[in-house]
Amino acid sequence: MPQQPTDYALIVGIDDYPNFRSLAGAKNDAAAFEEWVLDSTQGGGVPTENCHTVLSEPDPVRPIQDDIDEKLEEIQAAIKNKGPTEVRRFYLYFSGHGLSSNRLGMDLCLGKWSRNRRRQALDANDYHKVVAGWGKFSEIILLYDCCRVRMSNAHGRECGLGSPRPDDVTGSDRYFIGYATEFQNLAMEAEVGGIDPSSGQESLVRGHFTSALLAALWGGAARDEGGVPASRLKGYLETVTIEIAERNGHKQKPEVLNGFPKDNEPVFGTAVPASYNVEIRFSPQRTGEMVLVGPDNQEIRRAPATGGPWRLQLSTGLHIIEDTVSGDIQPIRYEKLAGVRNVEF
Amino acid sequence: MSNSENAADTAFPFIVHAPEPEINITVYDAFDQEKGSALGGTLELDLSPGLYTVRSDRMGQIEDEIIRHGGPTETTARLPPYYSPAPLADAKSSHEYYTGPSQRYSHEVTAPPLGDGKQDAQLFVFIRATSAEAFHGGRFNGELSIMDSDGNLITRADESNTTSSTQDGWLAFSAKAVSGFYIARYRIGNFSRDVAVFLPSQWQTQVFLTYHGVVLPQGMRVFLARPSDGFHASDEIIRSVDIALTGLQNDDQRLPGGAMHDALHGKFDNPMLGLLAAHFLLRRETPDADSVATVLANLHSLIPDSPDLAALELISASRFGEPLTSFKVPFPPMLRAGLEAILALSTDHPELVPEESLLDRIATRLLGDSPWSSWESLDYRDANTLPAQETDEEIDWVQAAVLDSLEQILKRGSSYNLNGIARSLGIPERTVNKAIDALDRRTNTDLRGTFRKGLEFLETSLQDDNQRARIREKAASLISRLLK
Repeated sequence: MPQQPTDYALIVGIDDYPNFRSLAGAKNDAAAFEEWVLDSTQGGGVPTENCHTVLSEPDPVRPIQDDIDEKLEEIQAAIKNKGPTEVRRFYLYFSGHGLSSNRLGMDLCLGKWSRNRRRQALDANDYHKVVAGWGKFSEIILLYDCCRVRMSNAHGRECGLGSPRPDDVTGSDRYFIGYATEFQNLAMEAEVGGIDPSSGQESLVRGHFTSALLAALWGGAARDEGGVPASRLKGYLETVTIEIAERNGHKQKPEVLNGFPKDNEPVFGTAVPASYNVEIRFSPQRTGEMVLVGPDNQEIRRAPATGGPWRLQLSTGLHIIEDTVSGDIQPIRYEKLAGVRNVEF
Repeated sequence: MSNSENAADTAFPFIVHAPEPEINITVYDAFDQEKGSALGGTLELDLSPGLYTVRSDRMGQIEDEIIRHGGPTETTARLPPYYSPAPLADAKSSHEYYTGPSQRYSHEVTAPPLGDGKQDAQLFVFIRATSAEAFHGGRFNGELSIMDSDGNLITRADESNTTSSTQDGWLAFSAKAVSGFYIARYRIGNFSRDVAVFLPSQWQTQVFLTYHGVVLPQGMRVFLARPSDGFHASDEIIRSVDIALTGLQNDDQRLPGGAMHDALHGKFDNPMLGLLAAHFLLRRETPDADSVATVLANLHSLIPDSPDLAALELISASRFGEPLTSFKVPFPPMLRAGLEAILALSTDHPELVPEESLLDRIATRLLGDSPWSSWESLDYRDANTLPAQETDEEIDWVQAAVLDSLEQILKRGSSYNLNGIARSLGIPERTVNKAIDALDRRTNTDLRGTFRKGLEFLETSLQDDNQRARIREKAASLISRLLK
């Protein structure tokens, strides 16, 4: 994708919560999302100068609200004198701890958050209102990979930027909001294996929601002509986040609000449907015929389980492996992984 | 096949029936595009051959089924798994080794009566693991105590007043009681949580808890039944109440099945259903006054002294614009939705939460992870117990939050409004004032004076930019010193 000078991004990843429970994967997730946002071959194509990333530091604890407001202010200044054709999309991605006081909102916890400092969080709804109130962006994309657990007497800080704002943005149909979980639930992260490229040592820990998000954007939810429409991203997140969580022994159901009309929805990046290598290994208990079925319900392979592992290249879309004896079914979908996707059935 | 959305060569009917009225069904194609959804009833689509996922969703509990669609398809969506601390008939973690004892001990007493006086109520508590295997034949850790409304210990669950099975992992406590308000305390290690429990006259209050290494009070379920009926694992109304509690917790507006119908037509004889129905009705954007009045009247005939009913009457009056002056809610309602409504209304009606009352004292200690009113324990006999705080911090959370709010006022140039701060924190205005007093005492400053006088002056009459800046700087410096 060529660069998109009309697009802007604010990306925040917070691992360091010295007075609460620190995380291990939020900065990884933010960096990985930034990689997609900046990628001008298949990704978001946001110019470097339009993309602002804030990653946490433990001592002194950063970011504080001012750090984030300053980045937002830079974006505000950059678009201030631009016309409608010069400003299009705003991405806000946050990975860290989160709380929610009601179904329609959430608070994004800053590094100083603790039970005693429960206002050390950002009111995501208010930030949305501020950005929408600028009246510049026609597409607002908000992605929150964090918990939405409720805590009494907790309410995040409003955005520090004083701008004229509409009273309410819920009537606007120009936003896409991805919450990693439904209200009241925990967002999980898990080791996905491999080596952390930043340290060369630690296992990479990634939020299930961001894992699904990146898989979708890099081609898992792409259409034939390239790019990921918002409606496909919604469906992919709603399905694959759950599957990834279940594989890690968790329950996590994302909530995605797509306010764009189907006939005029944003398309993210230019990735084409991804293909990937799969190795399917069968349990010794399976002795009958196994069938691999493609998205169009056509059989791709049928053979006895005893014939050993199957090595195939698959494209995006739902596939299933079915045991014709027991009727057991296991879904197989594209996920962004280095190397071969191993499926145990 | 092409993954284009318009690849349909031939479309065939794809008909999905919801297994229950409150279940939302959604159909996705193999590329995760939503093809249609319906709440209850039947979803009829025409779809090209392919793999489709049928998702059933009941209050956030979901179940997916992949369907191979190569010709006309008609199916009933699967029931989502259903979890409950109560060993209800179709709950996923129910086992007959829990169902049996829970039903039995809801009819037998294991402990001496609670309270002195007429024993016109009952309390039945059943704690159980998710399975005997999960319990590992261990022992129950933690402590469960029952206190009266003044915080005096009445009883503590132990071997002498409970019946348990360490093989299967369950424990039952069952006692007759004097009706009225109690506090249940769960202590695990250094943390203890108190929960509001009201035992209405002529009813058995049934409390179910899951044990997973520790008791999980946040998932507690409470039902009401006539003492002669006890607990029935297959009671449909109890199941509806159980699901509705999940809905209340998750801000879902639906009451399952015919439960709302029963509630509106006075058929319910389980007051918990009525309490939940009233909350659901009052949460609607435009609540129907007649329906609310009907449910509240039914509740009046069943549990007239309940703090939950008192809270609902208060919420109802507020929603329908009636005066609130005559309302009194003597104790915290069991449902957190009621308690939070009282606290929210108290910012404009401080008389609803009298100073030093139990409501006043727990307002800053509430826990929000449960549909029930629960709070970090305090010593009820010590009037000076401070809000919960971490030991390594000098100021408590209310003081920190007030300072934080004042800092926001400075930054945004908005007006000084303690009522607004109280409202945003969900605590009485009096508590905000006390926090400022404490901060002033701690640092020998005049925070309130600086803000109220200074900012009012600054907003209304001061024209000199330098003087305005100095006032702002003074206030900011005060905050920064206090927040250190």
